Amino acid sequence: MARPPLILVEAQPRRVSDGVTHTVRLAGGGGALPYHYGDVHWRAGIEALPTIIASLDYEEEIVGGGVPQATTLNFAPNGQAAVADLASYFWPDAPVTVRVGPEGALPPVIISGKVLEIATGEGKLSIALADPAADIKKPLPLSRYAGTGGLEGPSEWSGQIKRRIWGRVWNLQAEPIDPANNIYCLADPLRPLQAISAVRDRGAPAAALTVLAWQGSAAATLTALRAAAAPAGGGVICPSIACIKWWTKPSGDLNADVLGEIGAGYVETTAGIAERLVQTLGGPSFVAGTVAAAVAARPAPVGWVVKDDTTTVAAMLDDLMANSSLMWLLSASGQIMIRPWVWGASVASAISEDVSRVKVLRPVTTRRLGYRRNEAKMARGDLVAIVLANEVAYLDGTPAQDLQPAQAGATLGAPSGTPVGAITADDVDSTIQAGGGVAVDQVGTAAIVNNAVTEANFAVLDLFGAELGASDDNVWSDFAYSGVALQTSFTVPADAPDTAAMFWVTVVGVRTGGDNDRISLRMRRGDGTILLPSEHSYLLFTSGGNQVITLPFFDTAPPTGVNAYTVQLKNVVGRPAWERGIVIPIRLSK
Amino acid sequence: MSRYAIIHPASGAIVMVTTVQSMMAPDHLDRRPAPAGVDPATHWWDGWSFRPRVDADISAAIEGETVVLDYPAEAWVAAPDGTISSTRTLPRASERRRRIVLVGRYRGDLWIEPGDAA
Repeated sequence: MARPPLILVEAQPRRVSDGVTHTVRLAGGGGALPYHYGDVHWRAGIEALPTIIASLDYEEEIVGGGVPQATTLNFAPNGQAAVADLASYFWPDAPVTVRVGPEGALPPVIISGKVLEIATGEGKLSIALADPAADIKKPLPLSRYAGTGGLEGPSEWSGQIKRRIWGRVWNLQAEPIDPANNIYCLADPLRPLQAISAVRDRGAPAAALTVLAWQGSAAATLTALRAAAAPAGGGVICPSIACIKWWTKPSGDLNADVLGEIGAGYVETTAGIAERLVQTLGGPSFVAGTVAAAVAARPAPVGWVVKDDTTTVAAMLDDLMANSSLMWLLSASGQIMIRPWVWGASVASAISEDVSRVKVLRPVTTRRLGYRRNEAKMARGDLVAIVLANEVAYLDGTPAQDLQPAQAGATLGAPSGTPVGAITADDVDSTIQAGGGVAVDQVGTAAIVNNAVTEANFAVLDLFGAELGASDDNVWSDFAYSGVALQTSFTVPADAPDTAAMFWVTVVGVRTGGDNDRISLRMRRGDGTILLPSEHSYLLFTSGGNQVITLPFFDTAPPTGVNAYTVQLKNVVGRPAWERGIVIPIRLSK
Repeated sequence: MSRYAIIHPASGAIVMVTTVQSMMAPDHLDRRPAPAGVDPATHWWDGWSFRPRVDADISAAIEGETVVLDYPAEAWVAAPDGTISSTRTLPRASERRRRIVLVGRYRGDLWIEPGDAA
């Protein structure tokens, strides 16, 4: 049968009479060897192993901390006197360590903490242990503005907490510490910041930021900041006193991205910030190497803002650690350990006493990380009037996006190479004359719109050897086949009174009947006007096959609008057979 | 530039090619936009699209008072008076030489000389 483990409890309660600490050593368990360890005697009477509860809460979010707690140790000595003796001490806050292990050697410390209270009854002394993390379950001590002006803020700030920030903080709202000079404060002005990386007025970024250096003291720096001239649309940032001087009264919330306190060295990792928080509180130390290991495991920059004096540092650590899937624990000696949450093979096993199912957790589709937390979530109305260009439309439905760039003077002083649509300002400069008009030698033929100068209303008529009219008829008739006349038309553009047209008419024919044939050709405008020359007459078709005759006609002043032109012929002698007729018009107008 | 063809629908002969959009064909002819590059001398309309024309033989024989033409069965011809038909016989005319032209899908012509009179 396995021997029960040895339990040794050492506490330092104070004597009521003079307040001097007195070491009390109690023992239990074991059974084979006397309670003599560490060269001192331990008094028997511990009833049983203390119950140590280590809980790991999971409320559908990872938790950042889980500290084992021992609840109560019961000491039942062999006589009433021993209980009375111990009960006479002042126990609250007395340091206590509990050792558990096999007999024969001083067992290791498994828990160290403080006594919460004691109670006696039924011949027992019950020692209730305080939460081991009680030391850091305290809010961070923050200083407050005195409201006496300058770095102590305006009078209405009297009693207001001075914020403290560590690491990288995004979109932190600045508060007006000196409204008359447009100076805004981000955090405790007596604690220099690493940097102020961006400033936004109602979400609109600063056009320019200049940095004011440390002037030897916070007060001197504030004086210099008051005197500094802020660039238009921007401001002067002064990280050494956590202040911004804006160029004008901000139109709304003035927010900044900040790299937090320098203090003992700027830190921006979860573990680094946790160490600073605990150090600021004066809490327990960290286990050697745990901070460096956690920084290596979770190197991403994060930030932390302390702006109230009710949140405990333990709660801050919970939150901060959970955001980076880290967890903090207390070692047996009361030091803080940081461990990453990892999912892998089990590294330890335990025997369960009771397993129960409390509730069923739903699958989680999203995991909200605290990385790059936005410290000031701004509603649409808090932002500068940013309207997306595709949300604005004119009454006819044209979106403003289609009209960009619409900014007046947007191309004023445009340097060489500035794009203007698909071309550059240089193209515009070289093409357009000052005062309007196209510069000399800048109009290419491609730039002339169709129909402005010429129109190519070509027509070709195939006659398949047809003969037109009767022989020797000497009557003008259309040069036509199968009801279709050799005809063209064109439009004289409006506002183009100076228009002329020339037509090249080509006819291909052959004489018939064994003797030479003669014809005359002319061209007739739709309104009855005969073009110049009034006719090309007495054209001869002699033997030898098809003959090609090309003739010009000229219309000096076609009327505005659409004009049709038809080729006409008359048979003077005989009549030829026609193969083809072609009209090529050339219109000149402006 | 769009070109429009004025077409004899039965034979597929392209009578006229023009760029004048407003020029309408007579009732017995069709008017269609011609694809760019269609040469009216080398194409015909087959009712669906423009096709290249092919050469074909045409010949004539005198039989009494008529001239009997021989050309591919589905071909059409244009007579000197300007008509397009698929006639196979023409009246004899001794005073003039006449030209008979295949139109539509076939290309070819034939002169009937006055001397052909038998």
